[in-house]
Amino acid sequence: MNLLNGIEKLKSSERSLQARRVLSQLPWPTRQQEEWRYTNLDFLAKTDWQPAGAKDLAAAKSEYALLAQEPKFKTLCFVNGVFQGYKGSDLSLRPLSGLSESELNSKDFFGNLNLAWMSEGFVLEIPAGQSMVDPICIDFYYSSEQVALAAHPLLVVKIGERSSARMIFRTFGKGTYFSNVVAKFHLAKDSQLEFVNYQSNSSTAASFSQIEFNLGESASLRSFDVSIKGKLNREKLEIYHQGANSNSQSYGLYLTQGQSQSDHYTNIEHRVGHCQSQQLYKGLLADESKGVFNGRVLIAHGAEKANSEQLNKNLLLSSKAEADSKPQLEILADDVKATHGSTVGQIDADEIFYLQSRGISKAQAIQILAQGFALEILSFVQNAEMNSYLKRELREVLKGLDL
Amino acid sequence: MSDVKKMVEEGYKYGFVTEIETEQVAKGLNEDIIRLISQKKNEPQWMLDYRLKAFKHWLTLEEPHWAHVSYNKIDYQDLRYYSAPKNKAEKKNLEDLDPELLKTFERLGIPLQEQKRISGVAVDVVFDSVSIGQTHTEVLEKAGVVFCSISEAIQKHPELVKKYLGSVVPITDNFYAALNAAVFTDGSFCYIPKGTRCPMDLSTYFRINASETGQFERTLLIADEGSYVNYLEGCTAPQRDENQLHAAVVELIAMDDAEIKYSTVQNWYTGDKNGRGGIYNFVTKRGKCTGVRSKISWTQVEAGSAITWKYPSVILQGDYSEGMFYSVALTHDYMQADTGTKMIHIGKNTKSTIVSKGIATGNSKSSYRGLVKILPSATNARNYSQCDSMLVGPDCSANTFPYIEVKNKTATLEHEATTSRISEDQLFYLRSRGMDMEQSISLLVNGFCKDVFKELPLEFSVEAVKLIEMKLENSVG
Repeated sequence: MNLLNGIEKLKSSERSLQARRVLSQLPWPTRQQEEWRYTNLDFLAKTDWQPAGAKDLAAAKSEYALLAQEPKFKTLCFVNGVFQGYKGSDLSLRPLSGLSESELNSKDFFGNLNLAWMSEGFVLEIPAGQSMVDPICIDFYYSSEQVALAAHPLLVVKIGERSSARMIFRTFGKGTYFSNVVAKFHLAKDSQLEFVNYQSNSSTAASFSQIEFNLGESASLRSFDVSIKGKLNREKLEIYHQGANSNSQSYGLYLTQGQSQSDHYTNIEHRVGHCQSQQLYKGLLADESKGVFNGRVLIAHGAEKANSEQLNKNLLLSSKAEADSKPQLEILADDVKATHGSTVGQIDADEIFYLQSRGISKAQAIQILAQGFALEILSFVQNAEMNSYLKRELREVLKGLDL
Repeated sequence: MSDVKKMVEEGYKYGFVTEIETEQVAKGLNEDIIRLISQKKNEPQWMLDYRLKAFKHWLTLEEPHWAHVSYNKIDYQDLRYYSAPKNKAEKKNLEDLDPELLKTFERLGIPLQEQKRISGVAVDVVFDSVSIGQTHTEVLEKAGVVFCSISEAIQKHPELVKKYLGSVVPITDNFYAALNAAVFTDGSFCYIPKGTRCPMDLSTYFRINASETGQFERTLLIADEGSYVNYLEGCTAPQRDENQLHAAVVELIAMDDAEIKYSTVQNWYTGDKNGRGGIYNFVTKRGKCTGVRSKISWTQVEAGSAITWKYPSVILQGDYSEGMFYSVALTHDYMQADTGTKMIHIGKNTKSTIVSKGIATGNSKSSYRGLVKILPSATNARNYSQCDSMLVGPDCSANTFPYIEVKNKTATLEHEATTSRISEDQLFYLRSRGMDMEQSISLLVNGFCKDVFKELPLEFSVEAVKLIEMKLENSVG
């Protein structure tokens, strides 16, 4: 359990000490625990993870500087877990130290691991009544030749009343790394957010992210979890409907190949009445890879007039791929409408035949159908820049896929 | 409304205790008790060895705890593991039986005499733990069907019992299955020979009677090649304050082209208005489709027990085999039902269907928990699952926990679930036609459960509809 070693050497802050106490009470996640039923974490346990070193950091920084940037994105970046600052004046960033303990508390193993390591991070605040048209892009870039790198960035984003924003997280890099990102979003009354968590990791990387959304009254969230590369990607998405009339749409797309695994744990809680939640997750699973969807929807006692939909669709592209799906509904109020559905299947032979009869080769037909299946998710991304960026990236990966 | 109140105050209709002499062993569980049970039943050595092996394994197990079921800890040393009505020798005809006992069944609404002559259903009555009466034996014997208590089968057909007992639910399966294997006192055994269509529906009638008696039934049903059997199981139990444990094991085996339909109506004591008392129903039911084109279908109406923990499952081993699960679970007051199924697809072109309907009222909890697993060998497997829950009242809860695990790309699998309350519009429509609230709800619930009821044999279907109506009248205000 190398992830735990080394914490003791850190300077002790109250935040870290508290998290270490919680960690010592929590067992290492194994498949015996419901939340980790389908995910084997041996790889994490066996690797000797190290914090980023100064030498690697300098190299990684210069690599990152050479990467092409999306012109419209307002980009902030963590290189090897170290925040690189933001020079513009249009965003208000504050240090994490201003936050109270209760704002950061976590019950989760990896959430506490993040806190215990006293990760770098910031509070981003979008003042009331402001509309941020261009996407705010936060990059988590990793590159290390010497060691297996571990980093635990921590972000808090507060979106003021009547504000609207678009935001994208991108995790990518080279070599072996473990990225353990925790982000907490607070959407105030009448605010809106379109958010993308994009994972395009190296084939030896583990990327974990815990994204929590707290929705105030009439707040509106549209969240995308797009994971197309990486050895082990895990997203824990939590959406808490705290204010009446809030609504959330969460979409997911996971594409796995080789022996990679993409694991999605989502928890949507309707804590007050008159809220709406919609969820659609799609998986495209090739080679010997594995896709996991574990989606919980809770409608609390008294949260009447809730409306909740959840759907998970999986397409198996190879005979050795595996799809595990576990939607769950927990309903404690009676005046609600809640549905969920889950399907697993392969590309329809009739559809391939139809395209072939139009003169399209079988390989091409499969490519077209797989693209159509995956691109549906991206068609819901409203921001034009994020939309075209993601489509471009996805097409690239699909082309390289051996179908 | 006054009718409803009357119903509520009436309490549990079947809550009475039959005063007859019962033969009991001391409380507690140890090797000696198991030896005693085995000795009392005059069992062969291999049976005793089987029990002891199960007991040894049970000692190594920890009692399971589930997130959505809560109850006081059971003290397994405080239970009695054997209780038989004393008057059990020489049961050649029903008239010889203890008149008290016969009266009990009459009050429950199954006059045995009647059944024997008219209904065409052979009843293997289990009173507490020992079979005390059988009907229609001759007709069955003629067809070659073996239908008797499992103790009798151990004496008369040891080769069959030895071969199949524990082949579907091994002693290592779970905590309660191991316990059952160690201490089971009786149950039903049924063997349908090759190419035989069982001439009548078979039925067991369970009843828990003596207080503080653990009830451990063991049912073993084997359908040989090309045979067909329809098996019915129904239960009611008298009112008790202490919680009673029921940990039955049912094993079904279907060989090539055989078909088994297993239907259950369960109406055990649910505990009082405040959730005190009631039966703990921790049952392991599993069928194995070993043969090609075999079929096993589970149909259940769960309307009783304080806690139900039951997942009738099918292992689809033979190619083209088919498993079905139809369930209605009605919970009221403080009942907790955690039920569902497991469909394990192993053979090629296997098919499974799951239809589950849950109705929760009062402060009850109703959960569907199911697993559909497609193994790499199960080419072209097909599954369809549908789980609907209906909530009546603001304090009940309904949960759905399906587990879907697919390891073969040719599988096609669909799962859908909905949770909602009775539609206001439909209620309004019915009421505007002059029906009262109870009638309207009852009609809508009936419609909601129709997919399952239509799978039940006629007698059971009628009983089930009545049962649900009665239960709803008690709990919907």
